[in-house]
Amino acid sequence: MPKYYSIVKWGEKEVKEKVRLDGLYLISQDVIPIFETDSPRIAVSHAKPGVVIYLTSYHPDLGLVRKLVEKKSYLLFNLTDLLTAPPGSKRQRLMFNMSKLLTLCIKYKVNYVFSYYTDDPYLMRSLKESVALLSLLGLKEEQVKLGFHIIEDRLYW
Amino acid sequence: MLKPTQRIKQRYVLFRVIPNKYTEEDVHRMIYSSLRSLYGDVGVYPLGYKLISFHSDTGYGIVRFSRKHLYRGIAALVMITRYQDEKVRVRSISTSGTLKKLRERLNRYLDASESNFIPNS
Repeated sequence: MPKYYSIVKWGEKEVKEKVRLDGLYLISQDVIPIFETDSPRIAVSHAKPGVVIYLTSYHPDLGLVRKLVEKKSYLLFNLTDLLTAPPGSKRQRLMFNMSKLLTLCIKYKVNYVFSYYTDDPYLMRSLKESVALLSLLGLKEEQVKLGFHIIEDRLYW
Repeated sequence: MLKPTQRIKQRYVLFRVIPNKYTEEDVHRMIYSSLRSLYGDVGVYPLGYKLISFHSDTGYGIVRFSRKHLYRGIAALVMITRYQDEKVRVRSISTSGTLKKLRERLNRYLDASESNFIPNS
């Protein structure tokens, strides 16, 4: 049975105490470092094999997507952003950008990673809940499961 | 008269509100405001939302959605993060087509916590 993972903003010690939360295996940010940026241009310059890039703006940039495929990098989708976005135009824009970027990732076969990249357990959800949440962005169950599973390859680098 | 195949099919969702200090009215308000902010008035009515029961002592409750829009309903539960400036989490535990089955599952959960709460029975 495949394992599903979530990268959290906890240290290795805290993760070893918990191991699993709501059915998702936790990975410390110390184990897999994440490169966080707002700009697609900076993200392009940091695209290297095995690097996990967290683009906070979720700007659907085709140039970035092509570079990520070429370099075999990972693109992180932090689902906590969806939960904490203020209702209204900001959440609407975030959902639009996420949806478009995910469509590009699926089309060009980018390694997309779903995670609850936070230190607050109130903002973490189970796999089933994530499937329901991401169905709002037009994803199927298998696509969501792949997003939570794909980081396993990076763990054994 | 409607044929059995034409009737509206429903699904019942067992959920738990953490922390368990809210009343049934509070829970109804938090779920309904989440539904409205996500889908708007026009988007809410096809969901067939109804809060069947909620027990404030244990924090467990049952909500009903139409089968066609079940994921949209659960997504609205998942999106609840704050209520009255306090952190809240609504955790969807189980889904079933009948209330009987869901109450059996709920009793199993509550047996573990040595409580005998059976909503609406």
